[in-house]
Amino acid sequence: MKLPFRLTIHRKLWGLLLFFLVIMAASVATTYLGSMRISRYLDSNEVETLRHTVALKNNLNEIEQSFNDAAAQREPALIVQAEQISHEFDDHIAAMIHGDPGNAARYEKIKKSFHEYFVAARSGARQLLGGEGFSSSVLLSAQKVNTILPSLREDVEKLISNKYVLFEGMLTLATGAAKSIVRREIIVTGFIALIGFALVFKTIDSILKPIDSLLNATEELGKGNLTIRTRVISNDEVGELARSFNDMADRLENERDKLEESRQKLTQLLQEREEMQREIVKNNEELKRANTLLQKADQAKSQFLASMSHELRTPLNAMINFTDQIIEDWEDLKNNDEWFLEAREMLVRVLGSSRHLLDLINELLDLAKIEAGKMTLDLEEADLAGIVRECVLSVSSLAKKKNLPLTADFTGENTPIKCDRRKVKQVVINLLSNAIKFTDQGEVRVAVAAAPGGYRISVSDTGIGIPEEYHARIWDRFQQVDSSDNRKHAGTGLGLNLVKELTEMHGGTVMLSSVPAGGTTFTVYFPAKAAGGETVKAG
Amino acid sequence: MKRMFPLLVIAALLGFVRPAFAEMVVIVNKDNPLATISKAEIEMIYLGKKKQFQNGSPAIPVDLPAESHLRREFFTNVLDKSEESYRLYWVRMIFSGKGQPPLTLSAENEAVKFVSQNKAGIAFVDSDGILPGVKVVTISGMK
Repeated sequence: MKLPFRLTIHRKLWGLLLFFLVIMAASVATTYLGSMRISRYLDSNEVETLRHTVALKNNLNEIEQSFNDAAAQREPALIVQAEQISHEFDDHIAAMIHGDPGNAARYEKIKKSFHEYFVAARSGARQLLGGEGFSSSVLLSAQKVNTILPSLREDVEKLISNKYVLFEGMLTLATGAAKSIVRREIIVTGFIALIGFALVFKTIDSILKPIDSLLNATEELGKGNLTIRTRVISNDEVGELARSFNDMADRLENERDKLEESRQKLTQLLQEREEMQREIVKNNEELKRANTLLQKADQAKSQFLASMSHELRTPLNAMINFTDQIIEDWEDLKNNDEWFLEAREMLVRVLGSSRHLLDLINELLDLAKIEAGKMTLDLEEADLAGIVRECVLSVSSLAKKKNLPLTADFTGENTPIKCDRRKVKQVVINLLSNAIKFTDQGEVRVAVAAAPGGYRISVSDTGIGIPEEYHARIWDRFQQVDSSDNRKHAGTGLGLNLVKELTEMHGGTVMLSSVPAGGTTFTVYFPAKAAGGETVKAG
Repeated sequence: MKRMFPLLVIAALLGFVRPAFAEMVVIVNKDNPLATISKAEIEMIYLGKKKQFQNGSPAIPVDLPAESHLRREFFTNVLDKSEESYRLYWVRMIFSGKGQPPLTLSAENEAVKFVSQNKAGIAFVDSDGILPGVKVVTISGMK
């Protein structure tokens, strides 16, 4: 249904009101017209005459009663009352003659006989007032009443029944009219009530439905459901409200989405930042560790340099002092045999110091080579037992000096292996000289035995031993068990490191088992075929 | 006459019981063949409900003035009605046009005279004032 104007709630309600006003006005008008029709029937002359006729009958009854009471109670006032009623009777007759001139003669006759009756009855009543009995004149009046009254009554009754028939006709017409009016009213009213009900229902529904929908949507929105929209949108004030509600919900949802988006971005940023922080912390720790390592290395290097300079200076000083002494005492040496022998002793020491210096420098050079990655293995078929024998020979003088027995055991098959002869020798000599250096009494023993895939050389002593906590560090460069021991046990601090590096270059391993004051055993394993082929680069 | 015997006895007895008072009697014309009349019939005639005697001859009742002592006796013993209700009854009948009451005569002798001269007459009088033209009828149903 398209309307040229907007059907707002105001208009709907005013429209309903107008509808009912018009209907009520129409109803009142038709009812009025119907009642007019009915009253036209009921106000006709016949009905009027009937009314007068009935009044005549009533008047007759009243007059009779008045006379009766007047005589019975001997009350003259009641006769006056009867006279008054007789005037009413006359008036009614006059009205009847006027309203129904066609029957005037009939009414006139009734009027005449009424007068005769009234005069007779009145004289009778008057006589009876006196208290005498029923005198002859009373009897005369009674006789007259007796003759006139019944016929008068009969005339009036006849008139009534005549008029009543007519009246009944009118009444039937009026009743019919009333019935048809009522029927029409019922049908029309029912129809209008139906239409009115439908209109009211439709109007209420059209007003309330959007409001309900909007209310539900508002509650949902209040609970946080931002996707809710009101669907029923009427073309009225509530419709505007609903539209602005939907707009508001749109904006809210938009804002929420934006917020959600920025929240996610923020969360992501935060996570990234946390990750970065973790990385920084990790890096820092690594840096710190590296720094610590560097510091340690630096410290070891400084210490090494210090000890190295000392180690270098000591033989050099010895050499310089002894040679200086010899040169200074040169002239005397020629004449004094004792001094000459002493000078020779000094020269032997100078030679010893020079060798020590050479060893030192050799070890340094070897390590430097390994450091620089320039150390190469010079592989050849070699008899391990033979190498060990040579080593024992070369250190036997050291053992002899300290009065230490040095024994060597060889068990199992002795098969030549591929190795760098000079370097294996260096390893074994290093271990042996170490063992002799740190042992004052007891013995030093070296054993060579076949092991799965290679040979095992173990060097045992009965020396001071190495505390557990130094076992790991002892392999590091520039490390010694105790700095204070440096003085007692002179050494480069490079020996064990060199041992480890050289063994590992061959694809072998070095193991240590030791308890303080319980002696030390170093076990070196060499594979039968050095790993890495002909040459192996260290590092 | 045999049938009348008990009534005569009753009448004699009544005379015997009340010898000091003059006796109220109902009289009719001497030519009226009526010898006895019932109380109910008298009542019907005086209330205008019957206008004939039982034998079919017309009946014209007459009344006495209110001051007559006989009248009270007649009303009390025969009509079983008070004088006032009798009057009201007749007033109603008059004004509704349904009849005429019995004529009220001025004195007892007038009543006797009326009955003696009128063949249809009936009246109640003192037994002392009875004249040759009338006859007393016995009332059946009297106590």
